[in-house]
Amino acid sequence: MIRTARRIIGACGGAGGFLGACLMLVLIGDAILAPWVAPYDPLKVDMISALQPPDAMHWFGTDQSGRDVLSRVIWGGRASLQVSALAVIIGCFGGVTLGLAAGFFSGGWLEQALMRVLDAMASIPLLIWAIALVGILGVGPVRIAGLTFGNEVKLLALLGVLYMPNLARITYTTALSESRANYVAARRLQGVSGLRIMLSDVLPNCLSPVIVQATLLLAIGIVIESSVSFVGLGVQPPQPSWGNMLADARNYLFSGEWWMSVFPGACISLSVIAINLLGDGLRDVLDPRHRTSTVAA
Amino acid sequence: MKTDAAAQMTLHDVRKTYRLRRGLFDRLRGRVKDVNAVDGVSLPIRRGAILGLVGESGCGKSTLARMIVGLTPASGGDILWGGKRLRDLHGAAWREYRSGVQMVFQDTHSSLNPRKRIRTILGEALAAHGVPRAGRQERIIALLRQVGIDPVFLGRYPHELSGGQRQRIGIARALAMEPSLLVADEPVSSLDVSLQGQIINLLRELNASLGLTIVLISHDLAVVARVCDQVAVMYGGRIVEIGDPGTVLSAPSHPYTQALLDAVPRGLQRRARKVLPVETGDDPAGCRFQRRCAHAFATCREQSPALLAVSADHAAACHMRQPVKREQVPEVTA
Amino acid sequence: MTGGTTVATTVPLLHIEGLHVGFRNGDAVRHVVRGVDLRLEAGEVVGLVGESGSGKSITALSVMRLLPPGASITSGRISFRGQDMLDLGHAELNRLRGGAIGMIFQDPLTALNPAIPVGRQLTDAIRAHQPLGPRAARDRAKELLALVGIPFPQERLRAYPHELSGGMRQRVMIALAVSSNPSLLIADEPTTALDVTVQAQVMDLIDRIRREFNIAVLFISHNLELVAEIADRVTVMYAGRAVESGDVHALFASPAHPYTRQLIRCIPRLDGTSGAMATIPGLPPIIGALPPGCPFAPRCEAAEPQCSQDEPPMRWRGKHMAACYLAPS
Repeated sequence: MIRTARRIIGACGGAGGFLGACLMLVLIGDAILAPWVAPYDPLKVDMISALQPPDAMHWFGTDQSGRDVLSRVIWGGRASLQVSALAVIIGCFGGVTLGLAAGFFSGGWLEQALMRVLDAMASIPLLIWAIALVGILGVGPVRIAGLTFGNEVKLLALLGVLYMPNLARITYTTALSESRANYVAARRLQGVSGLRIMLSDVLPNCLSPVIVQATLLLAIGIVIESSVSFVGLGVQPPQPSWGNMLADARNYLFSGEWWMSVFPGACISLSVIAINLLGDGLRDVLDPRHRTSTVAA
Repeated sequence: MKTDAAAQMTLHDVRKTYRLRRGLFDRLRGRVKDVNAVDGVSLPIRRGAILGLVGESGCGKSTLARMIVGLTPASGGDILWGGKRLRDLHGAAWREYRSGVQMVFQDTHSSLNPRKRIRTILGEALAAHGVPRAGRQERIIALLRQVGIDPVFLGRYPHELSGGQRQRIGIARALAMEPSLLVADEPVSSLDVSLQGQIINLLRELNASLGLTIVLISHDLAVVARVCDQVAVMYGGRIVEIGDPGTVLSAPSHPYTQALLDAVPRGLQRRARKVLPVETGDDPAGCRFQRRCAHAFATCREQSPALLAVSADHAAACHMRQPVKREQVPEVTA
Repeated sequence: MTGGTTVATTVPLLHIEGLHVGFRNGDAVRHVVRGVDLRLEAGEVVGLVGESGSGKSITALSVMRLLPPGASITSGRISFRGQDMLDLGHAELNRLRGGAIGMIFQDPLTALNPAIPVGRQLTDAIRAHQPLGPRAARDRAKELLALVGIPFPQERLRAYPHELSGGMRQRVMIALAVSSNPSLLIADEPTTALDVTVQAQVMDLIDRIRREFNIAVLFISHNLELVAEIADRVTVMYAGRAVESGDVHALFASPAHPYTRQLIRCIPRLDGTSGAMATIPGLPPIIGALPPGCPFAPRCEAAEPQCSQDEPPMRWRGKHMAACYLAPS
């Protein structure tokens, strides 16, 4: 038992990583299972039981419209994590592709062109553009190919694009040095095509720092989403998100209804801490030198 | 252009020039500097022989190695494989060259992919060589036997092996391609003394049992002297002396070869070691070695010496060895 | 061969006794150094020879308490001029590092700051240990560069480390190490990354400097031949232990430990012989998984049954030690 526990903790990169992984598991689990886990409908208004402090019925209390704060926190987490995770996925896909190509085909025009594009992208101030874009396009829902998406789609697409230069730079640096390693030369001597070497040999060796950075960006994404929703340009009410819940709680900060701000606020902090702990743990775990084969030495 | 029937590969006036990247101002003024890493090397690599390539770092021996295996294109001259220039090889001839010329690297850490198990590293080499999946496992085990590694290591990652073991895997990976020419770039300089002999002996055995032609690059004269059939000493991108190791190392004809020999640690005979003057960094007109040479005279500062025969199987590029007949003799034939 | 020392010889310059260094891994401690004794008199050169993983570098780093993360000294004593090194606080240690004890490493590029010209690095080091003004420190730096045989020292003061060749960088490292007039120089594989010709130059330089300033040198290398060139005494290490130590001439002429004997045979020589090279069969043992008995027994040409039962004790004959059952005592 103890040995199994130790192995699991080891796989998360130590106690910190393990704690982060546990917290993340709870947060992600809640977000995915929101329809089943949340005790109430997060949108159901019940003016009679408005601004109730936490009790047995409403663990986290109710807000100014009598909506259950616990249910709104769970659904809000779903929105926050969704935006942040999708943005990171978009960023990774684009960033890794650009960085890998620039690093592997270094010394040519492709490298120069890609790096200049990335420099231009990196010079865009992140938050200002997010706000400006929503300001221009408005906060209404978006229709793409007959499907309707919430306002947050704009935010996550933009975040994804804005993450790209950062992730591309990280991939580029590693890809550059990995491409010069002799195992790549050995594959060339086997007559394997450049594209194949890039994908099957160089790419896997570039991913560890990207994964670590992606977890950190995930945390940043949650903060950005909350901030943008807080100023009313992200997830639109009545849909809950941690950010717009805080915005609602603004008016009740000094009148004693602490639960309205403390719970969503704590969730933001907790998830950021959890993700960072996990990121630090992953950094250690993903080092290939920590890998051992299953064969006993 | 003559090719030697006994030659596996022939290098003819092979050159590699790198353009030094300088600051924007220098480029605007058109001030660019070219560095000749390899500056006209002509040499037949004899079939089934071990050729030793000796020189200091920066002498161009590693660049030459990368041109031989085709990792770096030559900027001038020709490399002939099977009588054809490398750049004229196509289709089947190209594939025959590609698998036929393999390399063993100095740094055993970076030469194996850290994320792949030994089984995968050897398996993908066999796959690239066209060995069908069914026969691979058997072939992998045969390769491991050949390089003296126990098959229990198949499931291990490279970092779980010692330096000597990793170097053996590097050799096995090259052998998977069934090469006829193996270039070993400082294969033992990162290994402990007690293990160096094991790897060198392995290369010797492969040469004897498979008839594998080997180009052994090393800065260790003693190793080269022991196992090579022919030794070429490089300085400043050129071959300054070439011949059979017995002659070259016992009666060197080039002052640089002598200096290399003098610099070898002599253990308790401390005074026997002589010290060459410090390198100056620039390459002067005439003989590259002139600034560090104790014997340099006027001609050395004006003309670059050609590689001329000293005896039947021995040539040196030094003005002190002015030959009787002034004909070009870059043919150091077998 | 010891330099002219007037200090009473009862207190050695550097004295290491029963040093154990271990890496902590969970609850287990893997010992990489298992009871090493070493004694260095003022002005003396002692060679520490061994393969990678033998614990030679860790032993040297212990002196400066510069151990890699996870490693710690578990027992033993290290004293410098009679002062216990393991009791020193950070400030006192820092005064010794780069002060009375200088160090040079295998790779000078990582030991020098790439962003600062070598002249600045030298003057900073000089002024950290000596009360000199900027101008005087600069003059001293120039003097030092000239001392270590760097041509055009005035110009080279402005050079960045990457602008110098490997040999030149190692010369700068030596200049840094001697800038504070040390009485001990720890040289950890200082020539391993260099070409033979440059290696000869650097060896020459170290030998000249240490004679000129009467500096004791702890010279660490895997190359026995190189160590023999400079050392007065040699300690050979295997699997974390000193297996043989003694006067360099005696050790080469009549090695008492089979490991030393086999190691000497492995050195490739330019004696005109060709054919297979001498080797030591097998591999060095893995630290933490040592075989029972003598760790060298599985590779030893002279091993006897008792060798794989108990680790042999150190046997002394005069000042020559060998940890082998077969050694004469």
